[in-house]
Amino acid sequence: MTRDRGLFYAVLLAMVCGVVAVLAPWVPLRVIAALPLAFFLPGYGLTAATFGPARLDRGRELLLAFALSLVLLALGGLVLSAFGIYAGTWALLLVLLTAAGCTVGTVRLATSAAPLTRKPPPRPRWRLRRRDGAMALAAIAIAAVAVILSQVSFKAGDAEGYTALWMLPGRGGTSVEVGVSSAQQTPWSYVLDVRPAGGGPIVRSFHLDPGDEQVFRLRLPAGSGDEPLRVTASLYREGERGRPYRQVVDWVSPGEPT
Amino acid sequence: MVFAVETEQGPGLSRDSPRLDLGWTAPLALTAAVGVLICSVANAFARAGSEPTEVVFWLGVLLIAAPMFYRLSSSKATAGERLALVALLGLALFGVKVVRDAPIFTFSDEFVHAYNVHQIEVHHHLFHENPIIAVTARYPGLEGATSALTMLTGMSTYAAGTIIVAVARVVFVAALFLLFARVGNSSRAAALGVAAYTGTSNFLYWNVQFSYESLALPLFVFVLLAVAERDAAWPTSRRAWAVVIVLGSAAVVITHHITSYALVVSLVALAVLYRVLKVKRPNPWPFAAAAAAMCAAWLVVAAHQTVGYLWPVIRGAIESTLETASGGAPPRTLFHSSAGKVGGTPLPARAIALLAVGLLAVGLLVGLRRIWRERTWREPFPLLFVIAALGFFGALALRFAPAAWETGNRAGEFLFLGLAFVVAAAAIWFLRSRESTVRRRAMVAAALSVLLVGGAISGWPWDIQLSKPLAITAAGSKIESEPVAFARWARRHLPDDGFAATQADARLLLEPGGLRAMTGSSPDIESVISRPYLEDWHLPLLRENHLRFVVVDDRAVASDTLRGYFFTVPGELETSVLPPGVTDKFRRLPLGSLWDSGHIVAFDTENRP
Repeated sequence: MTRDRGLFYAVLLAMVCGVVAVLAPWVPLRVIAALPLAFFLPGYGLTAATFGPARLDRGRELLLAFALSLVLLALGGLVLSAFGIYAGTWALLLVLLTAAGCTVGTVRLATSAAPLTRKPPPRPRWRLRRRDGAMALAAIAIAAVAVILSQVSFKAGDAEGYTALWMLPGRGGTSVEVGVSSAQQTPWSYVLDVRPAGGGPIVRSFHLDPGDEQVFRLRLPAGSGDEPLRVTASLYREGERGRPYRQVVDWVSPGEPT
Repeated sequence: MVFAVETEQGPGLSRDSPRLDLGWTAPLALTAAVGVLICSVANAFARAGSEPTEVVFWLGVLLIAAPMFYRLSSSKATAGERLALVALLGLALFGVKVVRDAPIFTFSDEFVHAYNVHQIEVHHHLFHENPIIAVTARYPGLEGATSALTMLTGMSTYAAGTIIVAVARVVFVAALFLLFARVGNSSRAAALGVAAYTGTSNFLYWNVQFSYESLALPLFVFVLLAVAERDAAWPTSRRAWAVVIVLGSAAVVITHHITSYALVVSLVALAVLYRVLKVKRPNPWPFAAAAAAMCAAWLVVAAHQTVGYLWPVIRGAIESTLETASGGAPPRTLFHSSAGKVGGTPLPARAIALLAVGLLAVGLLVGLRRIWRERTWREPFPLLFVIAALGFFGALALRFAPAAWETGNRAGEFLFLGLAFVVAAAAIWFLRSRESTVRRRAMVAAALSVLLVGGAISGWPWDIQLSKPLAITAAGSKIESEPVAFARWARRHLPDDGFAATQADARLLLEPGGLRAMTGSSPDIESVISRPYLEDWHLPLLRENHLRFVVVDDRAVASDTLRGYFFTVPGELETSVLPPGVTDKFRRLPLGSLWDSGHIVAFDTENRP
């Protein structure tokens, strides 16, 4: 492929990637489109624009494409900050940078002293033997397994579990929402005791497996005037009704928004 | 040139070769992937509380690196293969950090930068306030770049940040390789130089966390490469490299303060050396002046907080160094961890770390001798590298001063660039001094492996080289650690009205909580939370800073920015708790409490009678 044709395809690819990255409904597809648009094409365009007809070896050319893309990403945020940083503006900027760079590069190629008709020096080609290809694929697969494994959680018997009790005011100050979530290592039984000042206790007994959460929406008695109503939620482990295991307190004001 | 008699293919990738032979890259990619898998398995065991897994982990690291070191020391590898291998080396060692992640950020600065990305997504512009490290928002290069990926793809900040840092890591090792190849005129020495650089103490973890320096350092090396390339380029290409230098410098300036200052110092030093050595080629002083002007302009216009952020650290380092040197204060104990006895570094690990320093010293002496004999020091870049290499050992001495440790450690990652070049000269001499036998190459590979492992040991606390349980499985369900669970709950249920919290909790409230949380001593949030009694200024301080919620965590480890995020596991991390008054002072006030999970209790300062 000649260099000017390569630059043309780069612009085309940038435009397709920009549209797909912004409009595609699936994240994996957007990622596939965004990666070359963000990390390669702008730098490739800028390299073409700055170096014009000068020939770089493949290593430097690749490095310039990736590194200048990083440079343009870093500086691009600064430019976009004046207009608003959105997916659309990012896509537009990256496509424009690629297009501008490739256009300048094409013009410089066309106007350079060295005519384009001259046969360019041979570029090194990738030589990927079938065995090497298989090993590279195996390496990618193993690395993927390693990353997936890093995201897997395991039993850790020594880790200390916990139980969380939380309480939030309900709408209009007439109710509260009380939640209990268990991060214990084993199933536990609890007794929840919610006491609004001036009202009778609301008691609930329940059982939670590890990772379970129980949420109660409790209606409160009518308050007296504008005074905040103290609501105390105490959580006990079943069979241990002495000191509360967990306790939260809320002053619910009449008409308090959620 | 010190490496000019090398018989291989020269500094670059030849354009004359019809085929790009990647040699042993594919098999070594396979061994590297297996090494990363072994590290992942070791971390999995560590998360499950199994012991001991450190040996398995280090075997995995060695499986990644040692075969590559061995191949890079060969005279038969082509420049293209070497470039591919150093890129693979950098990426695979980055994989060691990735498989240690949870997968959420767990490094102290990562939360801060992830929050900046959230702010860009929410407000659609840069420079929004960061409540924990304010200065980070004034250097938005990394966050701006990450926002491109999160916005374009919809992926999480963690995933986008990991990809950005991975690309930056590849750029770093490739640029370093090409820089050393250009300056030393040998791809073999360049590859060994990159291999030696993996021995810097921040290579394995710190420099690949999602933090501004992880992008700025690769761009710094890239700019140095561009300066070297411009120096060697035909006059027609010099303008092109000049554009690269200026744009790269601008990106560094808006990305990270210390790196931008290091860039200015490096360029000024180069300009001076060009002058002193009477180099006929164009002096790079215009680039030094441009970088200095950009740094100054950025400092004045956008980042004036930098002075207040860096000066106390520098002043502390100077005072601590003087105190220690004069005998007024005891020297810092090496390999000491704030995690107490459970965080101690075992003797064999200390021995490897010290052996690495010894090898570096030998490499320095031998390398300096070669550079002196072959008169390479008469060129500006090699002389700059020699000065940096000598400076590294000066910075190493700072590790003995308690408050200067971090300064020395951070300076080391820049100075090590020069040391890696000098050590590579020594390695090349060793390999060339007689026939390059398998034994000699094995010795070089072993020495480089010691540098890598020793550097990693001295750069990161031993007790957290491996992951800790952040999420575990119980009865088939996944449960997360207490501070993580609270952060997620707060994100779902509470308004973003400001949180005062201890170090670890505040960071988790930033990410994944996405909420504004303050911590630390300026303002003195730590005192408000950790004292067992309430003082007159505590609540007004919270009001002044618009902090509605107070998150009290009685775990002592919650103030630890490296260890405070995980499940409490007796015997592994600090398990002591603060006195009950820490929590009770708010209950007595009385304040409404929203959440109580045993160690963590969250109060609402606006919910009171």
